[in-house]
Amino acid sequence: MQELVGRLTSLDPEASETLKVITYFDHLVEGRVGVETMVRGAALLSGAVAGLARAGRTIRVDSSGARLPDGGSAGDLARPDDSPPWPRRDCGEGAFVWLERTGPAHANDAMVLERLAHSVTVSRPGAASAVPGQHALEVLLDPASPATDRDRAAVRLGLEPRTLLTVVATGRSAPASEAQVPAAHRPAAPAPREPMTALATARMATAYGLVTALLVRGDTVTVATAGATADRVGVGEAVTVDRLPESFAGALLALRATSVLAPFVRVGDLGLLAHAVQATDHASSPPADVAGVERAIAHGWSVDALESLADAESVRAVARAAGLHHSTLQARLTDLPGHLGFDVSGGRGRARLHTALLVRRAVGARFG
Amino acid sequence: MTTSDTLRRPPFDPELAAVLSVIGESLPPTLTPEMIPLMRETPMMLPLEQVLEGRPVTHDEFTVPGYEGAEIIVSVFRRTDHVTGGPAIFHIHGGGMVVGDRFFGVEACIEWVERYDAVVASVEYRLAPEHPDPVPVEDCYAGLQWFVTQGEELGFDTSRVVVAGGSAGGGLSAGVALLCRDRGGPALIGQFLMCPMIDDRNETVSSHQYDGIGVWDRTSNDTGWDALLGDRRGTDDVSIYASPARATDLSGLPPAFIDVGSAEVFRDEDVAYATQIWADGGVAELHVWPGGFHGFQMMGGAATVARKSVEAQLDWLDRILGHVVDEA
Repeated sequence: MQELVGRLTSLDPEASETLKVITYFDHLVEGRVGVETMVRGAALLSGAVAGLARAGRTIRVDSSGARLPDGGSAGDLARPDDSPPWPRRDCGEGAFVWLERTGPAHANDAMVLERLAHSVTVSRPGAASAVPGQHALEVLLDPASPATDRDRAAVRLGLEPRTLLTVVATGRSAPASEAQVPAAHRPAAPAPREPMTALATARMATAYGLVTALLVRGDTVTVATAGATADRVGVGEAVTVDRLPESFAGALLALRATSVLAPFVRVGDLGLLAHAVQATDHASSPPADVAGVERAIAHGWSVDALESLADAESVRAVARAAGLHHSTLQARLTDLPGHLGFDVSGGRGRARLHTALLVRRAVGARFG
Repeated sequence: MTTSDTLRRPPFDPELAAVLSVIGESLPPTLTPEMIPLMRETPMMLPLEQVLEGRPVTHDEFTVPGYEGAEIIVSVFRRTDHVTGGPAIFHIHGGGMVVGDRFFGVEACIEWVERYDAVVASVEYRLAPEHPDPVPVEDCYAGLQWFVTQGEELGFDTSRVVVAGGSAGGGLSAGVALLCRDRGGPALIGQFLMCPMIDDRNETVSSHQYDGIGVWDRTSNDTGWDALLGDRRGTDDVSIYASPARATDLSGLPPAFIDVGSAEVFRDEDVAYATQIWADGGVAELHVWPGGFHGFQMMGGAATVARKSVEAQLDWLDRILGHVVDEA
């Protein structure tokens, strides 16, 4: 993003800015703007001419926002003779949109085009049925929403009753939690391999701070591409539209289970561990095993060292994580069962430690 | 004012709301005094060379006497094929009285140079809180006084000078126009006030409607005025040149252009200023752009309402500068 005190020019050609693109078009749909404004949004964000062909009419807009002559069907007249057709996407009833990108595609081109097509589709006369005052996705994720609002929100987003959908929760971990981890120990953020084509996004206020919910079609979220604004990603179960609040609850739980070393978690991969977190959420006092972990930390054990111990790494690896010589660590290991209240030398002990660390993390998770 | 009143406010234009949602991360709505140093370090403009690249415009810098003889810098922009005898525009940058430099808003200045063959000056007035009132407005006035002595040197008609500025620069422009009137200073043919910041009291309806939202919110406005006026703020000890909204007589001023967004703190004070000019028999053109946040013309450049508002600005300048050319 080339920003100079809030000036919006166009997105960085090389950095994926998925969330910005989604948010931009969500506002346009929410504001019920005309299709020309949507095409202009695509031109502005991409820095390339964007076009829409619909019902025999063509709209072309350049990145300064100016309307251009129609340029022939699908902007073909503006295309050099020997170059391939402009990248385009259908948006129903024979209409389609395109981006007149010369040279290599920019990182956000596919997402801009997808969002433009989606926005034009849902703004079709008859398709638009606004849920006043609230984003459609917020309505769908809120278990308290009345059925009539849910139905309208689903129509608004173009969701069929049987389509499988997944909610992804993304957030930026509040700095206090794990800031002490040296940069060298932090894995790189999940690399964007394919654009996560979210149907909608919503900022959700939760007991764990502000998180961004993304609605994704299908049941396979392979990788997090929430862009630079999120460093943690939790993925919920795939459900039909009527069960989206459950998917969001799962995504939030998974997000809470993320750590510096594991920033991407699917709730489905947590298995019974998810129940351990839920049980703690309903308990009045922290479980004894979590209190044991706190005692160990109070006696100088780092979360990193305990994590690597739970993962059954070698004493040397644990020593590295703890920043200690392995012989010193050996000595300290003899004190550990006393702090924790259980022995960690066996598989069961490690499982208890692992669970206690995860529950502790989920309880203390803060995003914003 | 009750809470429910303050929560009712015009919404942002949908296209501008989309822009704001994307730029919001780099531009918090609220500026507090602690943030001033950081804001000053943040580049606000493209580098000047980049703005001038490929355009037939030259840039010269002059060190001139400011308030009480201090040295200040004035940048002057002219067409490379400049023809002597045309109009001039004296530009005063914005930045809430506390941030910015003479190149903030310079893109519009370059446009005026190219379009009108105008000689455009932009003044580096000293900023609050290090230099509280009256330094900023007096630096601007001193810069203008110097500028009009240079008509022959720089090649413009000193009887055809417009003062222009946005935001704090709009407020300073209004203040300079009042100083010119009251001190018998340079005769201006127009005051071009873009969403001007003109009322230290910060008590209009719109000043309460945008707090923690939009651009340059109520708290930011407090920050700017506190820096400029210190303990005098809100008292009777504030001059009309610092806070032009306090002027009770706006007669005898050059024609004014005033624009503002409906969704910003300055809406009501700017509307009131135009109303007072009319009440006093003056000439003012007022545009209130629906759903515009503060600075929407600069930030929301491609949005329809932003482009239309810039067209309206140029349309007024066409008439102020163009008609004078025809009649000369």
